[in-house]
Amino acid sequence: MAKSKTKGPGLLLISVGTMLSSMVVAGFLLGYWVDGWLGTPPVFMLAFGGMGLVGGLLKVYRLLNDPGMQ
Amino acid sequence: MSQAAEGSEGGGTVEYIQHHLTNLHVGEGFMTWNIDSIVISILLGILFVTVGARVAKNATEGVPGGFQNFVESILEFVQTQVKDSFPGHHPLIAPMALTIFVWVWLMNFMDLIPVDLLPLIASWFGIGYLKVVPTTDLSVPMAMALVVFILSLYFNLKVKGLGGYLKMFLFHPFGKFAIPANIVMTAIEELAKPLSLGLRLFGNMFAGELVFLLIALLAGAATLGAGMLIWFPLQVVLDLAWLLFHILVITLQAFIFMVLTIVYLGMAHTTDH
Repeated sequence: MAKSKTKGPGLLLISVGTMLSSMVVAGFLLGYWVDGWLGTPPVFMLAFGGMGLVGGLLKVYRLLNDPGMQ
Repeated sequence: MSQAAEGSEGGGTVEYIQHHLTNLHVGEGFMTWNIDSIVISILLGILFVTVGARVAKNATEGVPGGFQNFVESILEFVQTQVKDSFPGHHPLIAPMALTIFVWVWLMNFMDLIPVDLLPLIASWFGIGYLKVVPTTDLSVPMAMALVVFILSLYFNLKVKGLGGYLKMFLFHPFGKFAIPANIVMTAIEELAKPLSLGLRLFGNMFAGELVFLLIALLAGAATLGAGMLIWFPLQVVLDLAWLLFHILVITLQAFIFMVLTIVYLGMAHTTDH
């Protein structure tokens, strides 16, 4: 919970548009590195990319519902 | 680059666009140094510091002159944003926000200079490639986003402590029963912040630059045949319209980069996440 009285969390709404896409990209990137590390492509790339998509959707949903929650 | 242009079907137009989107660089692969981005961004930084220092030196307490008034209004604007978005106080935040806003704006502003002007002047001095807008070079926005990321990491560790920061990784967002998923999810979330910050600025400026190039190509195709000159009035109108609209875009992008930096650092600076 953001207990501060700032407008900051509300301004996060600016980034909602790119939040979803960048979460997917970040997931893929992270998965790509883990795959390179463990030598298991494309398992983690797909898994983390999927998690990024789900996480992004969740984050955007929560942000739009209540910007103060983040 | 030249091989790709020769092999493609677009001929002159593709070559023109590719030529304008190629940096003056040394080195290859990961160790590529884009000389033009580095030099132009440093020059703009020097311009910002010199003009700022001069205004500060000549500042009067009485009725400010036109330019001092303008600078003071920017300062007040940034200060209000920092007060609104950053909880508590930190001496680094406001100067950094101002630097980001003005510096990014200046780098974006290079986009409004006619696309062929500076590369043409550079070609007289034997410089083959010149990409004048540093923010259309992915390395520049990503480098700035990386600095913001490192700063937010520093604030996180300083304010929450190592334990608090790790706790955020372990128990957020699904609670204590899904710790492995939480770690991955929080890592993705943290990585997404600088990514979106850098990619947004880069994407907007790159697209803007590309539209300028396409508009320039309208009558620029007159080199292929004089008949293309009938497009010249259209080019002037389109260029002017896009120029006016782009003033808003560059200001908005500089503002968004600044505000999100403050918000991310503010989030890192609060203990009750």
